[in-house]
Amino acid sequence: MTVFPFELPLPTMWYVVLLLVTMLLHVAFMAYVLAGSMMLGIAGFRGMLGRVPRDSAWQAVTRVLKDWMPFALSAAITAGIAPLLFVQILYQQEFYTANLLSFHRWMAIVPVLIVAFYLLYLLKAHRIEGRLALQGAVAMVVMACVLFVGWSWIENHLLSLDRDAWPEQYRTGAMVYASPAIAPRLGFWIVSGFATASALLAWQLSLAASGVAAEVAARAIRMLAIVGVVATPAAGLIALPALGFWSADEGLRSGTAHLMVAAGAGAVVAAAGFALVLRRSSAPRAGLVVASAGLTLMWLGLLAAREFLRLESIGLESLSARHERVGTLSGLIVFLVFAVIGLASIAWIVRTVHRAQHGLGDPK
Amino acid sequence: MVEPSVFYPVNDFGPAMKGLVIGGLGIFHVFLAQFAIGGGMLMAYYQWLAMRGKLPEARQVLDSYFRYLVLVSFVIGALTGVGMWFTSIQISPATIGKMVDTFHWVWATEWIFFWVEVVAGYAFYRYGKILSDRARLTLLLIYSVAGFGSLFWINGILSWQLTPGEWVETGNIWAGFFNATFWPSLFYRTAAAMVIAGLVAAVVVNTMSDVTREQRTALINATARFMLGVVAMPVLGIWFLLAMPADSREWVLGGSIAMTLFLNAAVGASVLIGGYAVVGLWRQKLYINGATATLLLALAFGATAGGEFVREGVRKPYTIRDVLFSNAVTPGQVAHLREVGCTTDDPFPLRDADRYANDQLRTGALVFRSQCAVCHTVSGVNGLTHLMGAWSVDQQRMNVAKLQLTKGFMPPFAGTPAELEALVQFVRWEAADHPTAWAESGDAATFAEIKEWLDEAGTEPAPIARRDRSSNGGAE
Ligand code: HEM
Repeated sequence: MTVFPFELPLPTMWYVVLLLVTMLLHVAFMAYVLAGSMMLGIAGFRGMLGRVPRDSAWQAVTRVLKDWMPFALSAAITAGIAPLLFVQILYQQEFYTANLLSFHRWMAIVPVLIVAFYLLYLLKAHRIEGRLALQGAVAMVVMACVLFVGWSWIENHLLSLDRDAWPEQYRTGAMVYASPAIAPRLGFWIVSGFATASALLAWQLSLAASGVAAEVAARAIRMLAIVGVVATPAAGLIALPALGFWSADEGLRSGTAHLMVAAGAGAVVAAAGFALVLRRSSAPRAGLVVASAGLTLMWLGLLAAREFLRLESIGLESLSARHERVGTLSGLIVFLVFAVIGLASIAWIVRTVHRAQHGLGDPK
Repeated sequence: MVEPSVFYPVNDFGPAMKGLVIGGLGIFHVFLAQFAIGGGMLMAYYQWLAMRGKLPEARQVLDSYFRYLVLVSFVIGALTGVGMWFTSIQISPATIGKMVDTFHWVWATEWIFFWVEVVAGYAFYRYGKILSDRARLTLLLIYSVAGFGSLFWINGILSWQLTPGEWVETGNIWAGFFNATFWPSLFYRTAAAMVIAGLVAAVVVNTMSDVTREQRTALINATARFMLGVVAMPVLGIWFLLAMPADSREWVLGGSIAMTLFLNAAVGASVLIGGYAVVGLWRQKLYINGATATLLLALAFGATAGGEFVREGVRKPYTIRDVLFSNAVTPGQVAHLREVGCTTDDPFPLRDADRYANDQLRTGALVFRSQCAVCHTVSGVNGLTHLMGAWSVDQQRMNVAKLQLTKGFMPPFAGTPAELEALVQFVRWEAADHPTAWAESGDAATFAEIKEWLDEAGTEPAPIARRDRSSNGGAE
């Protein structure tokens, strides 16, 4: 096969595939956190202005968010660890150099995430219920924290690829890498985050895990589907300039063409799925399956194209020898065995909780 | 062929030594992570006690206390873990890079355990009250196994840094993973985790207003039984000491006074806690109040701190024994760098180049940055101006040229004679309060003498820190 990433030398391909798959998981939770924190932030701000929405559908969405954001943040962090591992194998020098150049600014994401996490619990607490100003302030701080973290990852990614800027960046001691590419890229992650989070929230509401009344849930799902219908194609379009495909030269553009076609097709399918949900918001699952499949395809296409650009920009020749040297399968079997056991344990937990919620007793 | 050097930007931590930075965060992370691991086990034990009808009130502790446990292990454990990773990159990218390259499948396996821990912990936190007793116990057991598993995996990687054993020759990661210090350190950390969790539980029990004094005493005595592993800690500590390389053992047993002090602090604190747990709580069935429990917990924190400093310190002059020196030079690179220089290809300029009186001092600053800065500051903690201040200029030259003989926990100097002279001048200039005028030094005779000293010292580390099959944990 000659399609990226399968055309790569075996060790490089292997780690690229692992990065893509694990990054997909990170993206799912991260999108939920990014868009969710913005929804809560905006709702909080409106609350501070005294504009409490009367629409209970919107309230249902914010309630689900408040309830699940702490877990989603833990999951986003945990999911981030595997791509963090594979990025270090694939692009060690680039990734570490960018980390080192941003120093305290980069390290700040750890305490910032701790703050965000605790504030999310505070937001959930009964103690501050009804205190709109406080709630609004807390939600907005959380949003700022999450945006700061997203911004930092983007900055780190772009700096890691700008080798020419490294010496001067170091000499000046500037911990901020001011690139005009950051803001549009963040724009892309936010819009795509809204698209992805809409699907995830709609799933939560449709599975009734939220404890929301069916009629309210149906209206909330409709609202989310409208967001999805708009945001998914928008994300696909914004990706072209924001992730650097437009500015790439002809060769790179043609190299990523098939990936972009896949991503575009995914966006269209996802939008169609959301449209289906809109038509039947009381029985949304078929539409959500289609939307989720489309989003997955879109993400795989975009993430693969993102890797293609990165490998081209750094130069495969300078990387592949290292990948070959460190590429070892020793330990893979152990990983796979525990992955199966781990997944089985998680499945058991989910089933047990589900049965308990529905009064069905313990699973056998 | 000599492995090419990869140059990374080096950050300045001001007056603090880099080891202090990573040690500082490390203590915090290790303490909390061990608490979370021991906490999981203790919860399972409480659940079992409650189910057997032996101690019904254990369920109350479980439901009140577990909230803290989950919050702490989720957030601080996971995030300080990521923080440790990021800090390791800041301190020594070459070290963490090598660790990741070698053990990525082990880390990927640990990642699975994190997921199980997060999901099990969250499920218990959120739904524990609606689950049957059997389901609760299973969930807690899954949580404990996942927590212990993450310790198991990381312990192999960390102990490999000190005693990589057969891996050095064969590259077999399992020989490196199950190395000579693997088991003593795993058991030691497990016992420590159980003690820390028990002490936190004692504090929590004291904060509960809805149990009687008798119930509290019963809870605390049951918790003391859980902490009994503390009696094994001295034996495990001795096992660990015996398994470590001979030179490392010497550092802690008097060779390096700082490390000896840290070790003594750790041992002293552990003995106090152990004595109290065994004699007071278990044998005499005493009650422990919140203040005493907190005090003991503070002692446990002190013991963790001492232990972590010793762990970071004993590896010197390596960060990965036999493979990578603390300053990111590999043993194979030393001779080469003495020919081509350690600053020649460094693409990163000085941040404060204008500050120096001449080019030689600028080179000296670059040499300091690449060879010394990972363990020393210029004039702060472990500062070179203090350490070298009393020596004559020739003593300075010779002692740096014979660095590994000057103190065995330092690596051999890896630069040219001209770079060495530049470093000496840099230190002298800094000690002289950086005057604006400073003559460049170094005639041919000086360089020749330095070269002779370098040759005399050779490129190997101190004899005692050389690879020695019998002392390297005897993994064969
Ligand atoms: C709320 C928290 C977080 C947000 C909003 C967030 C957001 C992002 C964004 C926007 C990117 C894409 C960068 C780009 O290509 O432009 C990214 C990449 C990534 N994130 Fe996260 N992230 C979060 C937390 C984390 C954490 C805690 C970790 C590590 C444990 C992590 C690991 C990664 C990795 C490894 C990448 C890929 C970097 C690369 O390919 O260069 N993330 N994240």
